Amino acid sequence: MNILRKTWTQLRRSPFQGLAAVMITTLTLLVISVFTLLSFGSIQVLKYFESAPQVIAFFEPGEDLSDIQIANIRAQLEKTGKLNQFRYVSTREAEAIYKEKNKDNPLLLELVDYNILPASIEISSVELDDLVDLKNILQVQEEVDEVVYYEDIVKSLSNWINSVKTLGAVVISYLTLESVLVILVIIGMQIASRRDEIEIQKLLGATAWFIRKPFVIAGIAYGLVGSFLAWSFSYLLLLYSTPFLANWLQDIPLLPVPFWFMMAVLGGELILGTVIGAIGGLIATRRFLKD
Amino acid sequence: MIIFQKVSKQFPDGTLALDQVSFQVNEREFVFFIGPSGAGKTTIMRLLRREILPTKGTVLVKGKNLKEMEKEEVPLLRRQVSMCFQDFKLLYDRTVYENISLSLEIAGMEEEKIEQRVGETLKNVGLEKKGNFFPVQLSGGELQRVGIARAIVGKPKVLIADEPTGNLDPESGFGILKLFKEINLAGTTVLVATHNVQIVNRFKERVVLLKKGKIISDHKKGKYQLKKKKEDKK
Repeated sequence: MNILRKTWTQLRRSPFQGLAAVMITTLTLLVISVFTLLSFGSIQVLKYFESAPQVIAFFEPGEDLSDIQIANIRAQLEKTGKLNQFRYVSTREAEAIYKEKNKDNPLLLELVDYNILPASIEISSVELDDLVDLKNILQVQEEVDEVVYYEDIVKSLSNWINSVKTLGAVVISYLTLESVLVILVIIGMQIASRRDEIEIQKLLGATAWFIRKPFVIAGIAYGLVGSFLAWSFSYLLLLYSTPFLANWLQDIPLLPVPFWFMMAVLGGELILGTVIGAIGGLIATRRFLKD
Repeated sequence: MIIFQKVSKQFPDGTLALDQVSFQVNEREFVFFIGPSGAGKTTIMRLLRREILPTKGTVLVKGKNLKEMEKEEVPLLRRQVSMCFQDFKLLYDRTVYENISLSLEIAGMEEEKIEQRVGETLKNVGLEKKGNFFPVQLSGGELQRVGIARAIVGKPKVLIADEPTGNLDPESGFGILKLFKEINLAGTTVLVATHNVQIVNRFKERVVLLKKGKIISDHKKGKYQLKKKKEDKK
């Protein structure tokens, strides 16, 4: 309790310096929050696309394949050892899917029945790179009318996620360093303004750590307050934009972001905030407090 | 308790503050160090707390050679050899209570014990009703009492005071020295550096006279005052 009271007194003595430290830490951790959520979202989107059929072969409208034909195609695909999932969708099943998707639009339901819908084979590969081989097998089948191929989408998405991660790492590193430096300078200023008090403490027999402790704890306090604020802002931002994002993402099951995930983000940010503040405080006391 | 063996101190600018000074102070003794400005009184006080190191010679406190002392041991020495300053060295944004309790916080004492000990000490120095006052609300004599309270609250073995009456009127100065005597009678070794011979004359204590960094005379308890009277008769 004593140390908390002392830290609070110390923070109160230099409110504008403290505010500057908290603001820069908040900005850093807000950016970290945004990139974390973006990475989480991107990975979920990628998983969705990876788990979805990556190649769909459509057959002539209204014509179903016989069991022998289906088994024959499946055997050819399985022979490669690269097939992950295989699903045959008959015209009747296609009609059921169409009806489910358009159940709120009676006009569309009236216009379409199974006779004009194609049967299809949906497959996914074990590895993304193997997809082209499987696609080539499907394309040469006599009954196939059209092949839809998702490899480019998945690859683009994967590249985009990697770019986001790289950019995030660079921006986060820069801002983290900046936060440490700002806290270092602010605590250095506080040390300079309390030079007399520090001198008296030394004369009274204070150890180096006794003198340093309040400054290091002040640094940690800046980090903790900044991280909590950053988390709160990012959560509010996420909640505010959820309706728009849900509409944009449509079938991709990404929202709402699980509460446990937000708690994990909070935990991570509190730890990072503590580390930033502690490093800033420790370097400042080492630099500006000579024994 | 305290031993100076042929101690010399020369500062980087070439000033020889102490020149082959030797003396010994026993436990529970009360010693005045007197002499004009530049005699070396403050240097002795600073050497005792290892604020500076001797150029030559040995300073021993309770058998420990301060020159060989580890840096980590210095804070503990300064708690055992406590000091009152001429300019009080108080924190003006803190109350009297907070100033005094700082010594005990530094020593790592629990908050409840601090409260009890500070209360007792405030009573001993006659400031029991001024714990919540800020230094600017106190007189010079009261400020020095706060400084003394802060120095003795941790029950040090040695209390040293550098010109403790320098900023006080004669009556307040006398009151402060009476307080030092009471602290000494309670078992603390007290060393007072002053150039105020008038006040020293009112106490029959050991007096070490310094001049230009050398000990001119070392008068045992009561002797300094007698010698002065003889000089007056002549």
